Amino acid sequence: MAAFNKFNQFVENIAKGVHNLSTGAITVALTATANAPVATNTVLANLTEIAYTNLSARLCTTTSCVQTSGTLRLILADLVLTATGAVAAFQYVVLYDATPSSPLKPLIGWYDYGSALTLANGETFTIDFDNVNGVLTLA
Amino acid sequence: MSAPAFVVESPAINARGVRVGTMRVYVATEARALEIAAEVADRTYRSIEIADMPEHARETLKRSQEATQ
Repeated sequence: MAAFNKFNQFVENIAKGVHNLSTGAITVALTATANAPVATNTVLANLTEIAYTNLSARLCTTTSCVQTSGTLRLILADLVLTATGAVAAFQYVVLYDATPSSPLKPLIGWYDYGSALTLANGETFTIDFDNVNGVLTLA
Repeated sequence: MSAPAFVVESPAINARGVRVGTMRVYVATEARALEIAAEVADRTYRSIEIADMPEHARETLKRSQEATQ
């Protein structure tokens, strides 16, 4: 199981207008087992990312960000990360918003893949975001 | 019919136990799929026709296989 966790600061950032999740450049960062995110991290600079050599682009596409009966669901298109050579090992898949400048690149949440994964040439890692429950809900 | 590849699947669950996605790793061999799946208890793997893979995954796998031939 890959567990999804939110960063604490994210809920405050929502309340204070930092994010526009409908138009923001939601992007994925990858970190190694030794550099696990913690809930008190706030911005991308708090994290130690892997080197992205041989890995495809990490920008997500927002499909929808609307409320129904008072519950907002953020739906993202599946993200496909392809390796054209060996990629550094990672365990954590972090979502952040690359659009805001203050704070710069605030964090949203992260997945723990459960173990380190090293993609070899020709392998693909996809995140199939749930189209019903969404990546996250606000209620 | 194209040759099979393999996909390793892991459910993504949030803190409330709600499923929020699936993580998939597409690989070329069953041995590699088994290696990844064996690391965590609830990972599964299955064979998949290359034609049924996402386009980017299919193209990347083809390029790597052509490069090694």
